[in-house]
Amino acid sequence: MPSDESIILRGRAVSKSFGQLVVLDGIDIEVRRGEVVAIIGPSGSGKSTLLRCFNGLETPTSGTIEVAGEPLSRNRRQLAKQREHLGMVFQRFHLFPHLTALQNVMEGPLTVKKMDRRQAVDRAYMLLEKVGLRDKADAYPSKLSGGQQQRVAIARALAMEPAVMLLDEPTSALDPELVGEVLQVIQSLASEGMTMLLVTHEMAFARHVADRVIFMADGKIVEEGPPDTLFDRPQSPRTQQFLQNVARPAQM
Amino acid sequence: MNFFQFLATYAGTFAQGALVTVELTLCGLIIGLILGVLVSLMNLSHIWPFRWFARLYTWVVRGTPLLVQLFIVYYGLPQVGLQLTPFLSAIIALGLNSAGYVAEIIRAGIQSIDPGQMEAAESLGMRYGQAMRRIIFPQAYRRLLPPIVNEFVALLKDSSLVSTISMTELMRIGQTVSSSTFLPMQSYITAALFYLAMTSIIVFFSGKLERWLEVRG
Repeated sequence: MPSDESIILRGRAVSKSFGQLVVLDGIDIEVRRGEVVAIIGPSGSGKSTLLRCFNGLETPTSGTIEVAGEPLSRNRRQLAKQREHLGMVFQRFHLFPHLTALQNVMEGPLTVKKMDRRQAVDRAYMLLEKVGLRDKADAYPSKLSGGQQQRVAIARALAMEPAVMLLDEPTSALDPELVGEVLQVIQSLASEGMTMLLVTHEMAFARHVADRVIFMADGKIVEEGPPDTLFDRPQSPRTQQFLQNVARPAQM
Repeated sequence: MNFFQFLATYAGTFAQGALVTVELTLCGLIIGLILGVLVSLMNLSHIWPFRWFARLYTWVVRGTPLLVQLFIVYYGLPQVGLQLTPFLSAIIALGLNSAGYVAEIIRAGIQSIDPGQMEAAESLGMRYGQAMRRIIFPQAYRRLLPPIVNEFVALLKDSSLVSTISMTELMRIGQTVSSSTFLPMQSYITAALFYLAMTSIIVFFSGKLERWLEVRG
């Protein structure tokens, strides 16, 4: 395959096992610039592990991971450099508890990019504004709701001006009434053309926001396609079964 | 002679001993903190000989009695040509000993920080050292204060062992006064009161320091 400038993330034959347990089993995946790709699938299907492989939080047992055409480095220093282009949003937020919301957002630009403090402050305010939390700039994470913490975490990732955002079940740890505000922020990023790879359990949202949906089960990609096709006319029995189960989850 | 007359007569002598105890403990603690930080950094290092050395060090130091370590430094080293004064032997033994405990305290403190914090820092593009300095240490050091204070108190009490190598500190004063007055009960209770006063002062001020750190967020 000729090298394609438009491909920002690429995984080839990615496999990962923990001892006997095979979590990823020969995954081939590509994400193009400007594309929003949602990964869905049952718990334990390897979705999160795959996402974490793309910024080196997990190292595949075999296969290659490329970011902007370059394989992820095994050298810690070079890997750190590559990670600057990858914004990561975690299920459990992982805000820095000893820093205010504003300081959380400034931390990357200040420490990693050595940005001028004045400029970093301005940008951090702008990003908090964007996620609707300018008035919480001086609050510590412990004083914020889960939804607010996740929005700050998104602003923190955006502060590094990443080429891609990797979102690992960004609403799974939230109370139901707080899910909407976070999805709204992600939606607005998508409409601005941000490239995103998103692992989610929110089917309606995946359908709405994604250009392409990937269904994973047992460490493999079972099926992928445009959301309408995948959700309305799933080809594989495994996908059909999964979608039926999530459609009526409350079996008494 | 009742106890108050005893105190009036000997309090000054005991106070002199207590001062030496304070000197020994502070010197021991400073050595212990500096070496302890170094050993804990080695323990967290990616370079295996450092890690190996750090584990060996804490294993040996924490697995053998301080009294034995003290005798090795004071009585053993002269045999290989290293004759140290009692004071130097005492602070070296106390310092090396507390370094083992301090290193374990720091290691446990750092490892008690949610691994997600390191992941979040690294995913912003921070290098390991930057993440440690900016994210992990600032969260860990508050948790370190209470166990470090415990170590400080333990060290102060353990410093009484150096009376065995003819250091004239508080315990040794107690023994001396006891044998010259034939009043062991009064002598050792007085020594105990001085120890208690010193440990109480440490605990009192560390409580204040802890609250002050909390207020600062």
